[in-house]
Amino acid sequence: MTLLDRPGVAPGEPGGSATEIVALPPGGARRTRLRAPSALAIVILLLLLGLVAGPVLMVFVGAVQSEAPGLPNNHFSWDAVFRVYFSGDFYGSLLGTLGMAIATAALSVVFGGIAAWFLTRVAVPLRRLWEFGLILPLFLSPFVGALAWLLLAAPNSGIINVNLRWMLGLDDDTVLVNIMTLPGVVFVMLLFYVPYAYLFISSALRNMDPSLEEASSMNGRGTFATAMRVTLPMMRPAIVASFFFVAVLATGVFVIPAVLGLNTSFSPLAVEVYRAMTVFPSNPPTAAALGTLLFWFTLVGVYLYRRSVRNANRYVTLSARATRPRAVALPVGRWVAAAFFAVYALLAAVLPYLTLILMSLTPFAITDLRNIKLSLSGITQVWTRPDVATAFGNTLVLGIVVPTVVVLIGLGVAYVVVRERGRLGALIDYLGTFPIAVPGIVFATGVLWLYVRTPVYATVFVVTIALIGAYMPHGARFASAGLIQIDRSLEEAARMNGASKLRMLFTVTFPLLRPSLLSAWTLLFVFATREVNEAVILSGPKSRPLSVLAWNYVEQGSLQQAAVVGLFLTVVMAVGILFARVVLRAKLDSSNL
Amino acid sequence: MNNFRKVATLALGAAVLWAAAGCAADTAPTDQKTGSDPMAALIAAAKAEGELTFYGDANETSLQKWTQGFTDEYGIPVNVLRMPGSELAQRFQQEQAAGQAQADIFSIADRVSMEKMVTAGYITEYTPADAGNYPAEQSKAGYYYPLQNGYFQTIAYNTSKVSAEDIAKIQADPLKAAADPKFKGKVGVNMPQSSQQIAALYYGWSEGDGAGTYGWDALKAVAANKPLIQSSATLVQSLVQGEVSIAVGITDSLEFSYVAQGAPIQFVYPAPTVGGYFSDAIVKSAPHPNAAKLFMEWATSVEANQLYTQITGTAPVNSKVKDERDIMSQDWYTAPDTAKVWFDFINDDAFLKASDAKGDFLKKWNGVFGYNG
Repeated sequence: MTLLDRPGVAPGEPGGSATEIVALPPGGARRTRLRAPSALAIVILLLLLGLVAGPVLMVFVGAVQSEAPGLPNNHFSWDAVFRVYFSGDFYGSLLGTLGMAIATAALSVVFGGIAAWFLTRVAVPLRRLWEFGLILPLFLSPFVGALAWLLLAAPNSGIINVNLRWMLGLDDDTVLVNIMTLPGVVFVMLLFYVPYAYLFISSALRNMDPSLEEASSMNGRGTFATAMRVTLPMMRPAIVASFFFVAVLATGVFVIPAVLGLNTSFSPLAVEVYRAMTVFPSNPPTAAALGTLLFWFTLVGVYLYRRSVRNANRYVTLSARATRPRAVALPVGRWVAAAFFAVYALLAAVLPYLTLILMSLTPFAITDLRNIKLSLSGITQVWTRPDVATAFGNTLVLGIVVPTVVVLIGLGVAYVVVRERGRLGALIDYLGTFPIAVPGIVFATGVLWLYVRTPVYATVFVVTIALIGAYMPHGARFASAGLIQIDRSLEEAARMNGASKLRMLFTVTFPLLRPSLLSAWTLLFVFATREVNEAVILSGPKSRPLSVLAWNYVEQGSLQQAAVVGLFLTVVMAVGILFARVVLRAKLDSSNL
Repeated sequence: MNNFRKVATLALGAAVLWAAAGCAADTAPTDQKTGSDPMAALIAAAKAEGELTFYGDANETSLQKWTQGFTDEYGIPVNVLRMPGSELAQRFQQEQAAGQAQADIFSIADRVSMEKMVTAGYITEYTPADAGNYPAEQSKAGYYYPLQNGYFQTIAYNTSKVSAEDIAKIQADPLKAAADPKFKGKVGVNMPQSSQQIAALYYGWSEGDGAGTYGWDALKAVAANKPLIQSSATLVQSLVQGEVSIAVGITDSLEFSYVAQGAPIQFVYPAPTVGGYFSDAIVKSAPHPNAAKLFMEWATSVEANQLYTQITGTAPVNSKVKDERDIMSQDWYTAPDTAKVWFDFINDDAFLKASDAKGDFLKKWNGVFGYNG
């Protein structure tokens, strides 16, 4: 989650390869190495203060007001903070949310880790296809994905139940699958969170020094023992990183249980935040105070994570790109794995997308395939909207500007944190991680409070600024993962030959990092295109992206049109990814992240 | 139709002239400079402004189609910003307090919010020429009028999942029917947390006017059917696809379009039901004030209300518009009796107190339905 994580770093003896040994006793060495902050660090700090600290600070200010900041009758008040922190009203919600987040993260890491091991170590047939199927759910907003699953596997009326009943001649009350249960909800949540864990862990696995696994194997340890006793400990930083990343993201999830009608024993904090903002009478200070409550827990998470990584790296080898790890021979296992991946791809990608296509072609949901009537009316309705072209333009602006700026600033953040370190580096590390700690709806409200008096308000520019802030943690995380893999001596050589830091960054670091950065760009392009929560709060009538149109359709119950826009968005993403692949030669897979 | 509109516009212009002569305040358009046809002057001024921005919380597709009627008539494009009411009110207040002049027309379902905007001085005084055709009790004369039709809460059922006999029972007493054990596992309910109006619907049954007939026991009986608890947009989807056979607390405006498309759903207005109207007003800081006035004149016309009625399928609010909707000829459909609808929950102290964060109503509902929202 934060940037001191070193995927591909092996604890233990260096083993004679060309490596640099960094002895890093926790804390101590860093403190003695205090030096004046670099100009780059100061620039990055200023950028983060504007993009991240400003809105987050506004959230804290908003929490101690009687009404939203800026309103005429507003005054200082502890009411919201008192209610959220001390009244006890939200303790159950808080515990439930933390439990759900931790459980989701743990399961995502287990499944993502197993998938990553198979896809990087075993010659699974068609593995590129399975990898694509694994990350495809990221292209859908969780809301649309959950609706698709409701249509597919609702107990009484789901497509699977209804059609298998008549095909197999079963009773009308037979329930074959039921998504509206706890395992069902967990399953749909995992579809959206396993990809993160997979991407982080598999990139670390790919870039790991293979000599240790080989040594273990030559000493007679079997595949399983090697994986458990050598690979797993080496993956600890990546596993911890993805665990915290997913846990923090999962504290913000509420649409999936809400759509699937699951009545949990608590209402997630994110739901409380959403209600405080949307249900009359709305109460922005309460929403802001709830945002700050989640913030502290994330802060603790970041701290624990940094500690855990520091201890794991007491004796660290930073090697340059090593040779590819050798494939594990599993003659039967690889086919079994392929079968598992095929089923997973069917559930995660094929079925939801087929359902979405069906939704877009039927005026209202009919789940019995014998009665289906197809029509293109939804497509024409969306197509003839007066604002669809503007929305498309706005989506393009967001899809191009946001990932580009995030990757560039993320690179700066990563450079300062990984290479320069020091106190300022730690501060920048925390600042760069904050946005995932604040629910999107609250962060966007902070941005709104900050910019409502400026001329850029209600333009697509404000939405862009908010999304850049919101995705900064992703950008910084991806860039640092790449940066850690690059041997520092290459950069030092440039500096010794008299290049300025900026020149070194552009002539040495940037070209070497290009594959990682392009992969990060592609993934962020997908996120920026799909994002709804913040865009809904901030966009004006002329600055709405496509994702907001889809959201509004969902809210008014027009699922056909929502599906049409959802598919259209997927096409936009596919074109963007194809462009990145063909023109920029960037791959959307984990090998470069 | 177009000719008819022109005649109507002329008639409107004449009416405006007459009204202007009678009133001293800023009401319908007057033109001191030329003294010529004020409507023509207003149209010219509105066209010169070039566009109009409409803030509203009604169905976005309906708002776009409706305002397109204005664009077709006068060639002035309308930008619609649609958000959920509470967010819209927050956003609008933020903008107004910050001096951000964005919105020309402000429209919102929640009347308390609209009153707040009037008190804060964000709404301008304006009386459209035909304002008299709109129910006075839903208006604030000179400020806002219910130019979009009303919407009411229903209990709905899926006709492919219930028998004719069931339908008769549901039509006779929908809440009692929802408690019929034969629908166990096939009932859906909206939760009172999703809007104040839904909260009022349940309150009306359990503690309000309907408590004598129903009371909490009737809700407990529905809860015994282990209902699926979802919010409106998802619940209507569950009903249409047949996941639930009967659903409590769906707004009729969400259902009309499904019925028109041939989805197998019908609905009935329970007693007592709750409802509301959207209030429409001109924003004081409107960047396009003349376009806004022209819009109010257009929106109060018979044609504009006919258009809104045709788009949404809701009952016309303009007293000069006849209710000629297809649905009126359906046996199963009976329009809500507006005299009996509980509109005034927004001013009912007992309800407001019970349903706010400190009150016990939501907790009680959660207890009955085993819901932990």
